[in-house]
Amino acid sequence: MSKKEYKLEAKELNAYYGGFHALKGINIAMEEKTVTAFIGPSGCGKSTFLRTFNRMNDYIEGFRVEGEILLDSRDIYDKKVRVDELRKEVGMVFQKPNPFPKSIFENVVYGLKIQGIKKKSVLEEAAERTLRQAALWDEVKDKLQKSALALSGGQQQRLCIARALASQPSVLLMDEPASALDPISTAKVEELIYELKKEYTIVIVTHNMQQAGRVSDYTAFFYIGELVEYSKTKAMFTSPKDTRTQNYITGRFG
Amino acid sequence: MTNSDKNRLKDKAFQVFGIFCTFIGLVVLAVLIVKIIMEGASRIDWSFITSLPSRRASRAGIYSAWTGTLWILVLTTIIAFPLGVSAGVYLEEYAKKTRLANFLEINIANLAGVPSIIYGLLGLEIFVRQMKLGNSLLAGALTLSLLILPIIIVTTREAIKAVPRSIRDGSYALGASKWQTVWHQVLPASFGGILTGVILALSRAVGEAAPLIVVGALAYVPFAPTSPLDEFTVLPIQIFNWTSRPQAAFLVNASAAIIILLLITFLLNGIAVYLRNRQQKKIKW
Amino acid sequence: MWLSAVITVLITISIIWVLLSESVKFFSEVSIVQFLTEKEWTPLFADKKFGILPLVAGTLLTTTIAIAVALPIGLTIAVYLNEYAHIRFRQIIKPMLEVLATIPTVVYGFFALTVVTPFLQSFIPGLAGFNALSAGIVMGIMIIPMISSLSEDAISSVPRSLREAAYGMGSTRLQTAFGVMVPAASSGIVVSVILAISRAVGETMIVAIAAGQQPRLTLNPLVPIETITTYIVQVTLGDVPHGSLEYRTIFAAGITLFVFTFALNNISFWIKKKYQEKYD
Repeated sequence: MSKKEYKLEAKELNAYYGGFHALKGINIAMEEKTVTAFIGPSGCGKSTFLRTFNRMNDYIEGFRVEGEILLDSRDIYDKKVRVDELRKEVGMVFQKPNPFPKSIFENVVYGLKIQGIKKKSVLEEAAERTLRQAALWDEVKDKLQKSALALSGGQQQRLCIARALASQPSVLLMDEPASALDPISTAKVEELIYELKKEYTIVIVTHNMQQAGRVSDYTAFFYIGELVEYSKTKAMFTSPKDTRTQNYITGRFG
Repeated sequence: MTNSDKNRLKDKAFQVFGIFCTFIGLVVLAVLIVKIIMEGASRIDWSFITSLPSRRASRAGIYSAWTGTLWILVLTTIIAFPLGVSAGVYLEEYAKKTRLANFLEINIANLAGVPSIIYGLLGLEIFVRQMKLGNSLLAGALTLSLLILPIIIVTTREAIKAVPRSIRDGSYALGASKWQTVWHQVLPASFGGILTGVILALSRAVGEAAPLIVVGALAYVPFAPTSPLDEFTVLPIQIFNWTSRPQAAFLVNASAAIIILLLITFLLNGIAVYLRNRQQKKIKW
Repeated sequence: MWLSAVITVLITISIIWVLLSESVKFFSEVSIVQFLTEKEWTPLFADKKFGILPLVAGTLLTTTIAIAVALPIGLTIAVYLNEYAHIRFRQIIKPMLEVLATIPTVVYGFFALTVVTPFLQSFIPGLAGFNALSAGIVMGIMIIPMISSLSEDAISSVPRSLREAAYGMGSTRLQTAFGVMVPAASSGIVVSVILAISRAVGETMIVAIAAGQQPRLTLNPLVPIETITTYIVQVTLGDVPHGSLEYRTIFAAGITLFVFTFALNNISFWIKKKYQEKYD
């Protein structure tokens, strides 16, 4: 096989919380502009793994990793890499919508402001662009100065997506982004993911099997810290190779 | 320099400033303690502890001051302990969550915020004048009891709140009455926490000077009090008095008396912290 | 048992009654307008003037200095311990800071007079032996743990998800702290500052020892002044006959002090209540 350029890769990745071995020798590679879903039962390590891609675990006491995580073939755990810059490249959306207690506008431009961009026209342009990308513009364009906390849960989550996009990342990590939302909002977020795939490489953790089936190109199944199976979503859902994957998928469907 | 560099630099700069601020208070504390020990430690001897105050610094001692402090401590405990604990138990276990309970709560928080010198004015008018206790130990102890009552009530309630429901349910399930449950289960289980709070409150009382000055504790008491109705002085007032004198020799006396006062305060706080830690270790709900 | 709870209400009523009844007698002899507007306070002299303003000014001056010291340091400590410090460091340092709050205030007064004032005099020429500056600084140090621990509680009760959002965007710790955490915890921090002000306003022994006993309508921190609390101490140390006008002045001063602290405390409850409703 020719040496293919992957967007994201993990090589022999092990992670520990103190003495607890949370991720065991994981190897995975993801192509650019695809959606990869991480599935598996609670506590299987899928969220921990997702958070190694933007080093969100760094602040957890006693957490350490071995092995490599490559972004555009560069090891992000290298000493020279700056976490703040990495996170501008790798955006993240969390399980529960977590807008800052500020106005809608301030939320969207937060990432630009912390980079020192102050020019109003630039900020306004970025706000409109990303809010449109997040399919939220029409709903909020008249109340940009209102508090973000006044929005509905679904709107808040799309605002958080817009906020992540404003820093112009190339990768978007989503940690169960629809688990706290109602079905209609969930559908909107899923539609959005489908649209965003055209420009971004997306990794999504989900508990919801149907959601993985609907939005992702590839699926990775995790079980007790191991990557059990990784393949095209369709292939995995129709003919899982490992019995554990099969049990999990059918259990959920069944 | 990129913006990211600047941000990192600011971040680091604040870290240094944070460490500086964290230690500045501790440095001051260290300077204070070192200065007082260097100045006063050599002044402490048996005669300093057993001598009555005197106009001559070298012959003056703290006998009447520490005996006064001891009397105040004992009397305040006798008055404030049962009162504060029973009020705390009542509010936590009996009072319904009504408007009245809410009012009582706000009222207690308000009392905790009243400056100590105002309690002095209260004591002066009620205990010294109206109840005609004069400038006695009893008047002083009553005043300080009122002062620390809110602290004891609040900590008692916290301690009782920490007792898990299951203990209460277990008692009720055996047919125990409310009173039996509180007396036999809740109070013993929360006693460590209550005691911690009471001791912390007492350590506050030991250090108070202002309200006692207002109720008329004297700076010059040439005898050790023998009854609650005697006039008195306490260590903080003796220190205040010596500090206000121009002669340097009295400042040395003040330092020496401060060492004794700090020993008492730290001892009380140490006991409280020890009790709290033991309580936390012993019982993991 | 309910009686003991009722006692707490009785205490409040007694405080207000005592302060009011004596003050009413005072204000029957001295007009309240004179009390509030006259610029001199000399009840113990032959030429008696009863303007509370100099005492209020002295109180506000020492309080302002104390807060100017305690707020930046206390808030920085709170942020540092929350965002930067190792958890073990925090566990060790917090109880050590609490020690600052347990030291009797008379000891702080001694420290202000015999250490801080001479130290400041070495580079501030014209600093009087008794002054508001030294007393205010020492009072500020005493109040640090109050602001730092209440602010830290407020900051650490901000939902974790907000902190994650900030870090997830590539914020530095400083940006997370001051851009997100501190604003989100602002009401709790404001409460801590108000309670600290209330504490500083009512503080007695430090100012009685180190700030002087000269009521003076000034904002100059280098000269002796007198606070409301010091005045009460000064009068009660002397031999003022019960029932005299001089005796009643301390209750008039006391009620002024009480009004200040009562208002501050209730503002803080009000903010606290609003804030809790927001987060529940």
